[in-house]
Parts: sequence; C-alpha cells; structure tokens
Amino acid sequence: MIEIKGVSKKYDDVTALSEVTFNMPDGQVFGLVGTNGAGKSTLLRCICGVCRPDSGEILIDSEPVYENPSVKSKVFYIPDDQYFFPGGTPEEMAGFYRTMYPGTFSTERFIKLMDKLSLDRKRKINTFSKGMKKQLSIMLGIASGCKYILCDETFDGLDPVVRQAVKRLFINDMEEAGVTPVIASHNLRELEDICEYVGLLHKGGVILSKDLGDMKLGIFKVQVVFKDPLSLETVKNNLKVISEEHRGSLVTLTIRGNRPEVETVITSQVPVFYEVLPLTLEEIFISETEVLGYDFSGITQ
Amino acid sequence: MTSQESHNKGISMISLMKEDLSHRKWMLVLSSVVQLLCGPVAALFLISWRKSRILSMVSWQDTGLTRPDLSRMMVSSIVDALIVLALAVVVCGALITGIGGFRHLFNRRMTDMINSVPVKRGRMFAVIYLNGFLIWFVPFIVSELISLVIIGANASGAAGYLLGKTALMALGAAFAFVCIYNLIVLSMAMSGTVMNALTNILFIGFDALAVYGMWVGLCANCFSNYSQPVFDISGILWTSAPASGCFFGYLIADNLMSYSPLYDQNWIFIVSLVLTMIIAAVNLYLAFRLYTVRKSEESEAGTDSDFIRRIIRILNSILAGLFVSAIIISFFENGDLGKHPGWGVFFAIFFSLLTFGFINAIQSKSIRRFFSHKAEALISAAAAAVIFLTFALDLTGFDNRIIPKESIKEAYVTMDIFSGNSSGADFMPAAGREGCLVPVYSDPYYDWNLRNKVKISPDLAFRIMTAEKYYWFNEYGSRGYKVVDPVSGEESVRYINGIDEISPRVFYLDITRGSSFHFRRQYLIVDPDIAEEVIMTEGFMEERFPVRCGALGYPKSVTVTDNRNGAEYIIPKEYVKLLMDAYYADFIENYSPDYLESGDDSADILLNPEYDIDYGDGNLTYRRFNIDVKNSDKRTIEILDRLSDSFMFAPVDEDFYTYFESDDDYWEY
Repeated sequence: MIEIKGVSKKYDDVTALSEVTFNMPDGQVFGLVGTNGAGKSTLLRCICGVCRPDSGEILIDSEPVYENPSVKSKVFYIPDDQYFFPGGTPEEMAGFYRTMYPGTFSTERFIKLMDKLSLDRKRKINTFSKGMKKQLSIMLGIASGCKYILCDETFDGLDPVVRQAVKRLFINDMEEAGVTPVIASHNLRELEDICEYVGLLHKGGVILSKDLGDMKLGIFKVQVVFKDPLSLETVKNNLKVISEEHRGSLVTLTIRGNRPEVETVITSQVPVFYEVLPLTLEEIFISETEVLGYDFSGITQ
Repeated sequence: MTSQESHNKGISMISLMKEDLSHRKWMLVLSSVVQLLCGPVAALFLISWRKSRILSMVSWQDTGLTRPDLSRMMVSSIVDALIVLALAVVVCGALITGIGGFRHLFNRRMTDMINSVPVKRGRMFAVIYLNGFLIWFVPFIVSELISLVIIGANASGAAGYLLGKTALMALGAAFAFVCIYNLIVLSMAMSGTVMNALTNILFIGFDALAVYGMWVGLCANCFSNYSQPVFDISGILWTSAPASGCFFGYLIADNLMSYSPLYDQNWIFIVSLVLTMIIAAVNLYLAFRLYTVRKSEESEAGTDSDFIRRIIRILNSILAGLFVSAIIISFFENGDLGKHPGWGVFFAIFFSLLTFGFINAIQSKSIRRFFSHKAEALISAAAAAVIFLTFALDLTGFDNRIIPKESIKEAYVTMDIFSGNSSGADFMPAAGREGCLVPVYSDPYYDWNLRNKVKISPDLAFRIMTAEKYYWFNEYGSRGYKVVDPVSGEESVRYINGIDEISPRVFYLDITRGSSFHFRRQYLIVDPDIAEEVIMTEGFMEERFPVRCGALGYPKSVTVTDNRNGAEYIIPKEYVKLLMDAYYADFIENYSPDYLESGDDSADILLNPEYDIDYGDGNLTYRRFNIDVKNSDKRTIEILDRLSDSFMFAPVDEDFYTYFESDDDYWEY
C-alpha cells in the first residue's frame, strides 16, 4: 500500500502539494484526478522518489521511498513526457531498465508486447510518433515487473484500440501479479472504465479519496419537475444540494447523501416527474470542485 | 526473485557503469581518437621533425655536446611536447566528460528518469564520475604505452627512462585531470544549465586568481614603486583548480623528484601542492553532496544557491569593469591609468553594469532579466569605479609612502644595474664537484625581484626611499622622466635627447618593520652615490654576479665568441683557469656602477663559461653563461691575445648524425 501522510511540496513560492493525506490500496487501479496545477504530477514524482516532500512522508509497503532503492525497485514511473536516450532504440531502453530492475524486468515480455503492438524494437525512438513513444513507455513499465506502476497522463496520445489494450494489460497484471497501477489523468471517462479507487486533488490538496463505487453511492443527479416552486426550496433545505441547473421547469440537482433519503425528501414534495441518475466521474469531479470555487461556467458572460 | 530481493543484493557497480558507458560511447570514441592523435601520432611526427631539424643544425657540432647529450635532449624534448599535449587533452577531456556525464542535471525529463530508478543518488554519482575518469584515462594510458614503444624504437637504450617518464606522465596527467574534472562536476551539480555551469566553472576555478591578478596588475600599472610580492606563484595558484592542476600535473609529469623547490623542501611549493589536493577533494565532496541532495526541479534553472548567484554577479561584474577599463586606458596611455580618470571610471561602470546584466540573463535564462537586481548592479558599478579611482589616482598615497628610519628593523636591497649578460645568480657551486652547479631555491622567500638581496643599513634604506624618483613617460612625442621629490612631493619634468644622458637604476627595497610587516618597493633612482654604496655592500657582488667574480668556481670548459663574425672557439682545457682568473681579477678591479652598465666599452668578445647543472633528477644539464668582455678587462684581453694561436674550432662529433641508432647505455649518464 502507498501511504501519503501530510505531504507538502513547494516550488519556490508556489505550493504544489499542501498537507496531502490518503492511501492507495494494493491490487486496485488507482485514479488520480485533479484540476490543472492540482499537483498530480508532483505527487507522482514524490511517490516514485524523484522529488523529496518538504514535509510529511510517503511510505510504500510501510517503508519510506526517498533514496530507498529496495522500495523504489517496486515502483516504475511513466512520466507524461518520457525521456529516451538520444538516438536510442527500444532495445537500448529495455537494456537500461533491465539493469535498473534486475531480476524483475522481463525482456521476453517486453519483446512480446512490442511485437503485439507492432513496434520496431531496433528503430530509433526519435523517429517514433508521440503515441508510439507513449506505448513504448507503457510497455517498459509493464515489462519492469514492478508492483506499482505510476502513470502520468498515460492515455494521452494513444489511439482507442491501444487504449483498450493497455487497460486490459493493467487489469490482467493487477489480477495475476497484484500490480497496482496509479493513473493520473484529466480524461475522467477513461479512468471511470478502469479505476476502482479515485483520489481527487485540487489546488495541492485532496478533496476526496475513496472507492469509486462508494463515491457514486453518495452523490446523485436528480432530474425533477415540481408543481410548486417552493418545493425546490424545501428540498434544498433538507438535502445537501451541491449544484442546481434549470432548464425550463426541469431542474437538475446534484445531491450528496444516500439514495433512499434523497428519494424520500423528493417524493414528499409530490413532484410531477423525477428521476435519480448515477453521476459520471466527470460530473462528480465538476461538482466537487465547483463547491471549492473551481467554476468557469460564467466564462462566456 | 522479487524486485526487492534483487535490490537488497544491490545492482553491481560494474553493471551500472557498463550501462552508463553504453550511452557515452561517443565520448569514448572521441577520447580514443584525440589521445591517439596527441600520443603516438604526435610522437611519430615529433621524431621525424626533430631528426631532420638536428641534422640540419650543423652549428650544433660547435656546442661541445656529446652524442648522449643530444639523444637525451631529443627524447626529452619529445616527451616534454607530449606532456603539454596530454595536458591540453586533460583540459578538453575533463570538460567533455564532466559536462557530458552529468548533462542529465540540465534536463528535467532526464533527471526524472535517472532519479526514479532504484539506485541511490550517491551511487549514480560514483558511477558517472568513475566512468568519466575512465573514458579519458584508459585511452590515455593505451596511447602513452604506444608512444613509449614508438619513441623507444627510435632511441634504443632509453627504455628505462621512458618507462619512468610514462609512469610520471600518467600520474601527472591524472592529477591534473582530477583537479579540473572535480571542479567541472561541482559546477555541474551547482547549475541548471550549461551556461550557468560555465559561469560557475569560471567563478570557482578562476575568480580567486583573477582577484589576485587584478590586484597585482592594478598595483603594477598604477603604482610606479610597486614591487611584486615575495612568494612563488604556486603560493596563490592553488586557489585555481585548473591552473594548479595543470601546473602541478606538469611538474609531476616532467619529473616530480627533480623539481628543485620540492627537492629543497620549499614549503610554499609543498603547501600549495597539498592545498591543491585538498581543493580537489573538497570540490569532489561538495559535488557529491550537492548531487545527492539536489532537487529535480533545479534542472533547467540557474545556480542553486541565491547567495552564490549574488556573489558571482557582484564579484565578476566588478572584476570585469576594472579589467576592461584598465585594458582600454592602458592601451591608449601606455599603462598610465591615472591619465584619464573620468574615462576610466566611465568604462569601469559601463562594463561592470554590462557584465552584471549578462550574468543576470544567464542565471535567470531570460534576457528580459538583464536589468534586474538594480541595487546590486549599482553597488557593483560603484565599487568598480571607487577601486579604479583609488588605484589610478593613488588615493592611498602608495608611491609616496616612507617608513621612518627609526622604525626600520631590517632592510635588504638589490638592483638591476648590468647590461645584458647572465650573472649566474640562480646557482651555487655543487659541493666537491668542480664545473658543476646546483640551483638556489632554498630561500622560502625566493622570487625574481628580490633574489640575491643583501642586507643594508636603515640609513641607506631611508636614503633610497627619500631620493629623487624618476618615472619614465612618453608624451606628445617627447621622451623624458617625471622627477618626484618624495619628501616634498614636488614634481618636475626632465626631457632627454638620448638615453645615456640620464641613467636611473632600478632598486628593489625590502624593509621589515616590526615583526612581520614587509615594505617592498622598487625605485628608479639616478643618485650615483646610492648605486655605488649598494653595489659595494658586503656580499652584493658575490650574490649578484657570482659567475663573474668567481663565486661559482671554475667552469668545466670555456668558449669564446667573436661578436663581429659569430665565430666560436674553444679555450684549451689547460688555460681555462688562467683565463678565468684573469677575468675575475679584472671584474673585481673594475667593479663599479659604470662598469657594470656601460655598453660602449665592449671589446666585442663574449666569454662563455660552461657548467653542468645538477637539478637533482640524476641527469646533468649543460649550461653556458655569456660574459661581455670590456676593453677595461685588460688582463682578460691580454690572455686571449696570448691564446689566440691556440684557439681551435669546436670539434665535430663524428657520431653526430647517427646517434638515433646508438645502443650505448647513456641513459644512466
């Protein structure tokens, strides 16, 4: 398990992470979502030992990670913009990681994966497209045999077919080898398909971190039409309404709470029509960040 | 095996080094090619060139050199050239391997990759550092061994000498490399960009030396009476890792044990060598520490420490302002910085600000930041201007300072008074070996200005300080002297038509006041009484002109050169003492300021006493002095006249043309 305890990190005067605390359980795909500049990449760089937090600590399997090779050997970091040796080939990169992850890096698996993705192992990487480089990074990570694979914006630049293939690989490794992929992304639809556990970051802090299923059970989108306008006020007074949107007489409310309680309050106002819908991860993200003032809905006004 | 298990065992250094090396093949290739060019190829070229040159120099047969002498000189000169080439490669190699090896520090993505892998930073540092050294050192050793074989094949019997020389070259070059390499690695660890690293290399590697050089340069240019401080350059050189690395590296390679200051236990030399090693070790330690604690986000940024950034900006802008201003004014005013103080101040301020802006831009990676840190820029410019004015206008009264007679504890003097000929003042007789000399370096205060000084009375020292001073100047097409009375401070100008009309002599004065204060000045004084008194001071003649008054003993041979046609003759061995006794008697009898400096009394004959010099390295070096015989040297001329029938041309060495093929064991000579 990756334990993040009160981690703060500043770049000069800019606070990238502020007192971040949450856990990333093993054997699940962990999605790290956040607004731009929320500190997702910084957090990943701290987890893999690239950066040292200014305060707080990061434990992997109960051991600190920074300058701890035995712990770092369990972590493979795939940055948003991976570095490849100038003029290097995939084989040379594999050689590098084979040296760095002795005993766990599987050349056989690397070759197999590269062949399946039709990537030439002897071709110079600087002739690869952005997506091909991304694929190569992921294949190196998977072949490393590490327990934790940290992916920063990994699905960016991948075509839908490869994206699905990568997801399948992650899930397969997770089930068979207990690998825990940690994926930081803006593409919440992608994460929703694959992640079981999500951490939401905003302005260097954690808004929430929980099982995606639990998260969806605690927040709902309700579309409702009331006869009496006062009914809406009653609902708002009795439930935790995060946001509301009016389209004619149809009101769409985002409400935090459990489903029976929400339905009881709404039906007590005898609506003309109502429907409780599950929220997508993206809607949850928007709702949660809106509450914290991250709202650009009025940008066109 | 799990990842953790394998890492508990650790990735072997060898695997890490091999992996690192696989990404630095180009450096290895470059190093090998350059080393081969500067080693074996250069050796072949030099052998070919030296052979043809020596064969064409027929006049060498007159020098009295033997075949072993020539052969040893030939091989020695080739090895010397190889040492210089090796040091040039050391500088380039350290730069390339240092910057190339640690270049990942300047690339955020690369730093992330290196820092994310499960290897401790200290270990990664060691791997990159060692590889950098090996990339240079292995090709160097290979090419040196090939060079050795090539030279050995062309000068048989030299194998032992060459093996020893190669070992010393390897040691010297490695010493120089480590000194420079450590500095570069430290600069890399401090910096986020190549430009910052280069700025830091200049700062750490040369600024202390530059401050010293600027101080001496300004004193020498602005103060007419300034005399260089009394210590060996190695006393300050250690502050500059590249300079001291090359200097001591050369001495080690040239032949460590033969270097006389070390041989004679010159403490300044030894302390400087030790300090150079300490500096190299400290640089390496700091580089290691900085590397291990370095934040990834420092890549692509300026220098890590704000304090160091500030020091670099201020110090270098002051130095640059002073330097450029002094150069410009010196260029137009023949070194007289006080001529145009206004312009001097303007240039000092302008170039100080310009340098400050450039360093700002480099450190912040933005030309827009050229004008930032305005307060610091103004302080730097003001400091440059104030320092310039202090020196240019002698605001401290350096030139007119006089030490009260009663506070003079000890006083020493020496002077430049004779024209042209070598005096032998740097040598003394080798005990029990006639015709052989050893160098005089044992005095810890040895230096060129005050060498062979003699003790004088406080009264004479005071009179030297208070005598009229002459300062040469050249203005509006008129040559002359500015004459200054140091007591009244009155100045007058005396124009001259011929240089003989006035003959000021340079006096170097060294006064000790109290227990440690040294007052050192050089003065240009005409007063004939003072010159007479100084040269007649007890011991002055033997100290200053030992070869001319017989203090070095009899030479092993003497030749005579006829200055009118260049012909050279060998004095038969049995007449050497007779001739030299005659000359010694003439010199002692004629000894006076006029005799020593008069050039128009020349008899157009050069007397060339020849000695062996023992530098303590097991080899003897041939040394010839030249003494201008004057018409007033009656006894000498009489003996030469008497011997003229016995003169003979220097003999031709019959083996001269074939010494390369010699298999004599002359290396034990």
